[in-house]
Amino acid sequence: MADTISILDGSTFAVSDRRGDMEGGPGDDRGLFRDDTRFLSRWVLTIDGRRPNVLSIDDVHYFKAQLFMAVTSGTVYVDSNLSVMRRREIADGFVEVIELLNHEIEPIEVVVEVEAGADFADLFEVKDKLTKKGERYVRVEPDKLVLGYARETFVRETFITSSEPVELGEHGLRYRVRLPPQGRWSTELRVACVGGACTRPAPASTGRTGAPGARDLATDVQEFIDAAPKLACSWQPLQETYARSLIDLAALRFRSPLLPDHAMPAAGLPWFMAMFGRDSLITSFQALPFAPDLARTTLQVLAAMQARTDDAFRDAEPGKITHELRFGELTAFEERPHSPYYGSADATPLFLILLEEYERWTGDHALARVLEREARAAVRWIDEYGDRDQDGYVEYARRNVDTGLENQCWKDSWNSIAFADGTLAPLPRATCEIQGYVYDAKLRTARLARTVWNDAKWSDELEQSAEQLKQRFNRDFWIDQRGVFALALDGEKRKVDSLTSNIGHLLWSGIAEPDKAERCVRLLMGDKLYSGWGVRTMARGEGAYNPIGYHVGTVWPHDCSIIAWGLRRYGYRAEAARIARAMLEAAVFFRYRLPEAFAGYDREATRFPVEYPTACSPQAWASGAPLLLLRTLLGLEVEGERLTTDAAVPPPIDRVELLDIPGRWGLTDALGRSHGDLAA
Amino acid sequence: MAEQTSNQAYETIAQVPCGDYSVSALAGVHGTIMFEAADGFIRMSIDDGKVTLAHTAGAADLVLRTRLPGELLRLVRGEANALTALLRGRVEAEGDLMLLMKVAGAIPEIALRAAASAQPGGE
Repeated sequence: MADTISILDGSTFAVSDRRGDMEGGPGDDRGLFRDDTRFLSRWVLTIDGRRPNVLSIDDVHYFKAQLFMAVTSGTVYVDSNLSVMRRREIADGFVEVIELLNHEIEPIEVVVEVEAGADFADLFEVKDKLTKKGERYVRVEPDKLVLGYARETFVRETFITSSEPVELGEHGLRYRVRLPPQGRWSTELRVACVGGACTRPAPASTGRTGAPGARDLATDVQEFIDAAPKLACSWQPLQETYARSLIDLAALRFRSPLLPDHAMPAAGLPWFMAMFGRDSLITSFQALPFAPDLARTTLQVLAAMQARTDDAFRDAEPGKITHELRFGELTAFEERPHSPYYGSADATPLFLILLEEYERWTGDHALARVLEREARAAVRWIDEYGDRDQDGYVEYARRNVDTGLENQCWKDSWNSIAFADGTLAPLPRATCEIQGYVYDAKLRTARLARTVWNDAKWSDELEQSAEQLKQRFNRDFWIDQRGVFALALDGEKRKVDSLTSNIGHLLWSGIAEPDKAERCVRLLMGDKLYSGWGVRTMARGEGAYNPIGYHVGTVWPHDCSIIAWGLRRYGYRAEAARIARAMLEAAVFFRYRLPEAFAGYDREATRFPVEYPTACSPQAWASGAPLLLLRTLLGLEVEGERLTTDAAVPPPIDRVELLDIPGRWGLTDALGRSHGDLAA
Repeated sequence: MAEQTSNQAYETIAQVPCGDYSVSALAGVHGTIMFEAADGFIRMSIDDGKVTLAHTAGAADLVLRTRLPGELLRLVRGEANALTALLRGRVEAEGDLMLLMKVAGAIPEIALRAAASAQPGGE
């Protein structure tokens, strides 16, 4: 069970402990955040100096939570005479109602205090434990407590107001409460975040009916769920995980202050409630059969933010798709390059892949026509800038050597691209999966060029280029001695020989020749890579392997969903079904919400998937993973104007029905029945 | 750096040279940005790679304004990034911030064109 409670709406989110208190600090993510800034780092409720104990928590909704608590006497022989309820809803900040119930037949008097403080840390400062450069201040005004921070013209403030008479002080709020016999008392506290990319007014009071806009949030999520296909199946893990995934994807939709009319998937709570090109693209791909509007918005926003100029600080070149956009202090003062930052080598081909998949699935020619210029610019980036040394492969090395990302593939931690002996590969690095994405992107773009943009000549050129890349790749990346594709070519064009999950992405893209693909499948399902819960990011036995290393041994659900879909592409139905089933069984241990990653220990050893300590949850592409796995089980593909089904459903799932699947056909249904020969 | 020298030929936003410039980085972009400062204003119209700078009032998709002396001049000269200036509170914005995202990176190129045009024999 998680030891924190999180509520969120877009870039605003609040993380507390299970009492509802926030005691955030360096390296500790608790607090109220908006636009990558922590507007409240301390928020602690006491009654007569004691913290109430939690009895029960209702956090079913992503945007609000209720806590039922009691002030206990410290002994089991004396009942508590005072119940406490905290109801918190996210707004532009949050609104919290504190309610006390006196269970005595005599009146009681208590002192209710809420300690409040804000460190105004940039999320990067929280994560990296950095110190502030500006000045904090506190101002007690007649009607509110103001916590503030200023560095030159960069000003952020937190307004705290109360519906009931209150003593305001520099450290918080105090109420002297007299509760009548069996009576109740309550107050509504509003915490508003002020200042940011565009100034927004503090929320207007709505009386005691809840947070401003709260009804809209509830309606919004319900509409998202109602628009998605309906799942009926006999296996609870699939049913529950599907429902949870839809709710989490609805919750993680992100409207940035710069792009208020566009909701696209943010990456994950708490560290990545921001626009990430790669994450948004992959999540949109996973969710395409279920929520195609996510893909449409993602494509529109990323197209608008496509780099137009060369900018070494931001690792940008014309045609490159954005990696990450942030709004905090370090970005504002250009101590970080995220305004926006372009340090990913895979987002650009992934953009082309999603564009083609979206058009093929939805039949939305209009968007494809509108984005022709951006698609051409993306292909140009691949060939002219992505392939830095014109050796026929996209490779990366940051130009911003101070604050840019060293690894610009999805495994972006510092130690993820290593040789089998554990030594790091020198830069620039051409990772194998990026070459696969480029291959797939060119073939898909060729189809759009022929069918939508009426450019047969360019289509032929793209197909020829893709075919040449495939031949070259199968020659240059294959390691005969190990019988596996290299993880990467390093800066000296040496084959980086670690066995990793990246080879599964080569099946998704289709770049692997069939005989080599067959070998990849055996490795992916062998006990060095396959843990029993999923495919490890790095195989056990490799020099850099660590079952609790971020990208060097953990299991990532999104990675596994892509691998499973790739297995289906090459006809390995049973292997795909095995991964899908194991992943959904793992979800049960996470209350049906797959985390960003979990440990790579053997299933036989632990019997349950072991948590990775700092994994984001919910996380967008982890929430998208069950959707792509469901597509995999049903074998959903587009042929011409219709949806085809080629189900490979393993026991114990008896039957799967997916109703009202949206696409170019309107709405249609898919049905899958269990195959005994797919038993694990 | 001849460009910087020519850039600094104008000291207020009102002195930024008007004119039409071709900026390939803004191909496909359409919109109008008004830069307003205490010492004047300038209107930047973008139409598929053609940029027009003019000291005339009119409707705009995005208005950037500031009270800080010289700040908008720094933006128009391409010496400051429009988005980070906005995040730092040096500039206020009203309107289509998506347009700002598209244009911000190309402002230095516009500035160079404008500065070059101010030189004898310029664009």
